[in-house]
Amino acid sequence: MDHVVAPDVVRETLAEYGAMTRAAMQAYFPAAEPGPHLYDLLADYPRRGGKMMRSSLCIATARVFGASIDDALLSAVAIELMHNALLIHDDIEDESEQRRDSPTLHALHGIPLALNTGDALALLSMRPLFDNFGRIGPRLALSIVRETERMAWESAEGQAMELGWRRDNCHNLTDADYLTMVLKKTCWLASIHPGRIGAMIGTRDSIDLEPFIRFGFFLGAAFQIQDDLLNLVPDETYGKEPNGDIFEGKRTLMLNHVYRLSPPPQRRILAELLDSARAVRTAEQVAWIRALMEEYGSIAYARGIAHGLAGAALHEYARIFDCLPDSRDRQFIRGLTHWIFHRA
Amino acid sequence: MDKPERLHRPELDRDEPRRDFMSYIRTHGLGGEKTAAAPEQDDGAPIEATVAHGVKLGYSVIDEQIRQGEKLAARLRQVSGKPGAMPPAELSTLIERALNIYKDMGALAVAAMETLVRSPLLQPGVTRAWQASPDAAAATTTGGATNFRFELAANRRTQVRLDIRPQGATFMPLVHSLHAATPSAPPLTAVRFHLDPATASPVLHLDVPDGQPAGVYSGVVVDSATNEPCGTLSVRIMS
Repeated sequence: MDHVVAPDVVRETLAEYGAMTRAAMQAYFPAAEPGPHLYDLLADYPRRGGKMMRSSLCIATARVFGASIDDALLSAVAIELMHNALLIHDDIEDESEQRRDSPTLHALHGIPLALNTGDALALLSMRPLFDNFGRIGPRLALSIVRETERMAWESAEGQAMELGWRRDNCHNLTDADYLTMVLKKTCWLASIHPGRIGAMIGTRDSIDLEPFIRFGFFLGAAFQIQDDLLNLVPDETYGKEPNGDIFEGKRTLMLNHVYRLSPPPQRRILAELLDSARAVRTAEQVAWIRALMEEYGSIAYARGIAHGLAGAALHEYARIFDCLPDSRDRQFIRGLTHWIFHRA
Repeated sequence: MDKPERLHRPELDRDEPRRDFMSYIRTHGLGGEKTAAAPEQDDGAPIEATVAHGVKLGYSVIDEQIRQGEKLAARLRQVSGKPGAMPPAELSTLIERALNIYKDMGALAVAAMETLVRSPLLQPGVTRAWQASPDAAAATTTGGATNFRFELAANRRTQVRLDIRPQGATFMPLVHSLHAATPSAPPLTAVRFHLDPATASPVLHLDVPDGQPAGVYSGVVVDSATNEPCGTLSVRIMS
């Protein structure tokens, strides 16, 4: 049996596979014109760092099933490029101000250039997938392109759900609604897709991929809830503005919980606040909602849900990986279920 | 005498088993010692109930998503699995796509061979690989006709076909003359192999006289060292 906690393995593996992916990704950034309006911007978010969890999970899963790092590296690069492309668009859509400790791309260069950069980065993420044809063969490479297309659709659907809730000022959202949105918006790109791609590479596309949806969902959902919780804590290492999600009116588990537990008069005020534009929402209003989260135990509630999901992720992990030989990569994947609660 | 104070059991810090290992680790640390007070939920619900709710909820969401995916896949399979269910237009598109794939694969194979044969960097390696295996060598010499250079002097359209079997690396072919099927036609005698010193490979030289009757002329190619037959050379002279 694996050790319950392996934070060092997780940190070391993220550092090692992350560095490899970054180095390989570097080759895809052209030094061309128009530099200040496109190519310099393309490399901005990737160069700011990031946890590299997605790419590392892809490589580690491929390795657990017997593939070499080189066989998985191009797919890992594609995942990171796509992730960064979606971050640019998310930041515009959410009107976010900070990303990885710096102003967001649209805050620096304006929405039109940032939008175009996001498009270009998404397009750039296809290149390593095409290079995969020569590396791992056309059949497997084509399957990975198809998987990537599915992941992109799922992500777009999830993002549409969340943006639609905010535009239409939906309040009576259940936790199941939230988790369905997170499954699509976060889990597919963060954990389901990297795991499935890694397993496809490691087994030459000869494994049932459904268990990876379950494992990836539980891991990714716990990750997202923890991310929402971190957003409420003023912490310089987090990289985003504190309480930014409340400013943006994001329908998090905590906000939905507060709304459900609020008496009708308070609900009306909440609805009005959330219906207003972000620009007119004041720090006092945000602080009031934040205090309600404390008052109703919404934070402890969300934390409990996240822990339950992490436990379920461990259970699903065992169903996939327990039959495989123990290795550092296997410990890394298992360790992620704990690391998500200890990351900054 | 005062009655001694009745002994009481100390209050238990829990009366249920710990089913949530994450909460356990968070509150007790890795060594099992309690590090902080267990978090209590403000709305009074025990934290274990929230954790269990999370697990149940998570499974219901993912099971529903997978069930929907399976239903969709089953519906698609049903359509594609029924005999005759595929419309003829789709079938012909499928056949066309399959043919295109085969054409692409063929073109790809030819391009790969061309690259191998033409690349000066790869050639020594390819030659070594061919020499290493007799089977591979067979393929070489047949395809290896490309390793022969042809020098043809003719005023009429002429086809030359050289079929040659595998030989050693120092092989030098020899052909005496080429004969037509009709004995009255004179043989083609101006035919010979010579070694190109630049490439160290054999060159077939053939002169077709202007008065040579049209027809097919053929002859045996032998190994000049052993006189063993190793192939045929045929020339078709058009009228």
